[in-house]
Amino acid sequence: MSRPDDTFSTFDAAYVLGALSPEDRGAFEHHLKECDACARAVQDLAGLPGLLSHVTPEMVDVDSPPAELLPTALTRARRARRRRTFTTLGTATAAIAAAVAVVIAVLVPSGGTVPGTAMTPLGSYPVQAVAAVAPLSGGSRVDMSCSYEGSSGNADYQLVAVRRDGTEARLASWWADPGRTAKMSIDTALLPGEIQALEIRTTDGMTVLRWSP
Amino acid sequence: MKEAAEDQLMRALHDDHAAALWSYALKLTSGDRAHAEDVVQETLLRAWRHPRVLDQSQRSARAWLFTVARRIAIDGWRSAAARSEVTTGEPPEIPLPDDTERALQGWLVADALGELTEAHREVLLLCFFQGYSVADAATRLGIAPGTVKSRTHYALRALRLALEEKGVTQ
Repeated sequence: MSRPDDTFSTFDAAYVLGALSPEDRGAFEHHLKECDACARAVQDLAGLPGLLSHVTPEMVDVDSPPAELLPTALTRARRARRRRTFTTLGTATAAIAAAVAVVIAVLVPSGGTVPGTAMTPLGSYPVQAVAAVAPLSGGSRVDMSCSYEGSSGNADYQLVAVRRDGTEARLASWWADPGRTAKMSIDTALLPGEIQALEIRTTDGMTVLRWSP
Repeated sequence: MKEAAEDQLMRALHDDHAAALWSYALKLTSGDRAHAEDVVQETLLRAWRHPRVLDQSQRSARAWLFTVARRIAIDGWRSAAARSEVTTGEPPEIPLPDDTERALQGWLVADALGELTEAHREVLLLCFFQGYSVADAATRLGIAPGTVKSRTHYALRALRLALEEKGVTQ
């Protein structure tokens, strides 16, 4: 059974795009009056030319963003993540151990003097730190400043307090950035007399620096 | 690893939106490439910090990104936010001005065009943007006029589908 509508079934798009020849357009418009299916099809597509008209040449022929955009964005995101990790871990420690009340940490360019005494390196590691413990009502304040000069990217460190009875409390974690100093001030419920040592460790538990009062 | 996942997020943001943001930022900064790059960086970083922005239609995500870019470029939003280390998510609430709305629509349509097959995109570029008639397009592409008609027929339907997926309705 032949259906004359089929001749026009694919005319809809060319019609709304304005690409039909005058003859085809005339014939199709005449057909539209009689064919609901084609009229509906045209209606379905009728909004598209309006949307297409918002496309300007530079959107199709894209001027690609600078090549350094992504690497820089990734670096900035990683740096931001480190700051966030820092805060988050500080908070987590406080909640679990109830030993840490406040962790204030900033990453600053290396240089400048920090109060405290140097932590003792337990090997040749590209990391140096200065620490101090001061009494505080109900505990103590641990100040620590750690600079990292490693060339192989970043490193993940944590600061642990070793009590006289041998138990430990993790005070903070941070990502070390080459050429930058992590400074932190931690208020802990540990009394100064309870702290036998402070240790900076890598995440896999290796102690790289130790400090004793 | 968490870091890898967050790198992926930034990569995805870049792949999905950087071209549109870059072009929009160039317009906002009157062609100042350094400033435009700064605007795009800052916008991507903000989106990265608030990934939930992306848990919505692409249209809404784009609207958020364009609004943020606009505020950074024009209102100097950045300087205020840069002062605090930890930024909180302030989703922009000001409505988009008309030109931003148009650019936003245009970019979504351009993205949808980019998702079509080469044959579909080509026939739409000719018949709509370059104003070719069916007969001219047929000569240009070396195909029958009937094929140009059926190709545009399927191409516009594919475009409509791609736009619907992005949350754009006519």
